[in-house]
Amino acid sequence: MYALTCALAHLPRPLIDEAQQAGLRLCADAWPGPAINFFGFETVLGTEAATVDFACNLTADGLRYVAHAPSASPPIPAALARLAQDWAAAGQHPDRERAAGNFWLEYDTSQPTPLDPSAPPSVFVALDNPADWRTRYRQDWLSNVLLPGRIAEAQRRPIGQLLSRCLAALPPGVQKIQVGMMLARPLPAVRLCAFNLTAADVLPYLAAVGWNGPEAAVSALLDQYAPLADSLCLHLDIGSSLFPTLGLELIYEAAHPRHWQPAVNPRWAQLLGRLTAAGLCEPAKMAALLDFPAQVPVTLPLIERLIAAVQSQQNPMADVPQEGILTLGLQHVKLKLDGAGQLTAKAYFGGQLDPDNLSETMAAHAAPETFALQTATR
Amino acid sequence: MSDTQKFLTQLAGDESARKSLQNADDEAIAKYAKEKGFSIDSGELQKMRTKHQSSSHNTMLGTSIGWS
Repeated sequence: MYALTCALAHLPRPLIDEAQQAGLRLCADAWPGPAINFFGFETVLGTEAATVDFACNLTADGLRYVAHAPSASPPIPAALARLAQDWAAAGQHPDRERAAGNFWLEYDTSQPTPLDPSAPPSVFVALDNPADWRTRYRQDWLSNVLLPGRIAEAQRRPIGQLLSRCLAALPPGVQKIQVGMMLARPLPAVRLCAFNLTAADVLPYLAAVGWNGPEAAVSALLDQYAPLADSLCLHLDIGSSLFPTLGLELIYEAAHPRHWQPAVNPRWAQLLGRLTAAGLCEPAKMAALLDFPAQVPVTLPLIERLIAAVQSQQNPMADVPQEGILTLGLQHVKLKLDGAGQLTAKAYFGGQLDPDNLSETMAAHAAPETFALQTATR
Repeated sequence: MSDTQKFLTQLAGDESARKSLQNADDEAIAKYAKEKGFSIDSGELQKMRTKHQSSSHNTMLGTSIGWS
């Protein structure tokens, strides 16, 4: 994944150390560029540990590659291939076109054990049409596709029923959900992520689904942090009963990510400052994140571009170097509440290598009012 | 496979030749190819370079995921 290799050179030390760079290079080597749409990183803010987890989103070619690439090197984990086959199965998904772009892989690269690319990652699938989860038929479909083979048969029914109940109770404003499965862990649970929530939606929804976690802590969290976001995404872990934990993503909404970067959105500095004052964010990480957004031209010698062109023609899945503008930026912050009401904060950030947009981005880059990311050549 | 493709495929596996061409322009690459017996011209290389415009958008920005 050439774009990831480029991005790694621009991750500063408070966010990632040398050992982590090595783990992420294994991910970069394991995945051909054409298989991956998006990628990004997660850091725990309240610790000095310079470690990140890594996630990537598959393209349509990537989903086919995962589902049907017996000769892939390293091999595709069998559990992942089975899930991709189920997800992509003809006639099964309500919208086959969207199925491909809505398949995410997550690697726990921050763990002390060395990353094993042949072990299954966690997988998140997204549905971005409310009709996909509003009816009982669609809720059953989701359970029937995701749970078999991933959850032991005895637990499948209660988990499926609770998932359906949580889906049916979602507020009308929710336009997108994700369901996550930890394929590598024997955890009899799935994670539901509901987007487009307002602060006023959260407590009534938790009451409606019977969540029995620390409600007062949620209320305090909403009062303190929700005003610093445009919308919220709620994460619930669903086993045979609801876990008393939750996650709350603080989302900025805009037509383009450049419109919510710290240079144009002062709420980033307020949010990270508030988390730092509360002891939930290391000052060095706050500084590194606020300084992270940048635009970096990536250029290659002509001969390398020509060789890449011929390799792409011969093998569309070849991971070839590309020229373009590497745009680095922040995505969102997530607050995680444990069953005792203790908070942890995490930040999410990523990069884009956009080869199509070289001249356009350079032109926009000359107009700071429309593209206010900081320029860098670091 | 065209002569241009054959030449570039061969070059992909020839590290030292590749290094010697790191600063070469279309014309110098075409000249080198001719010396090695490949019939290509700088116009063909230029066309090929333009054609190699990927549409990948490798980013996390603008999306979100329920991380653990």
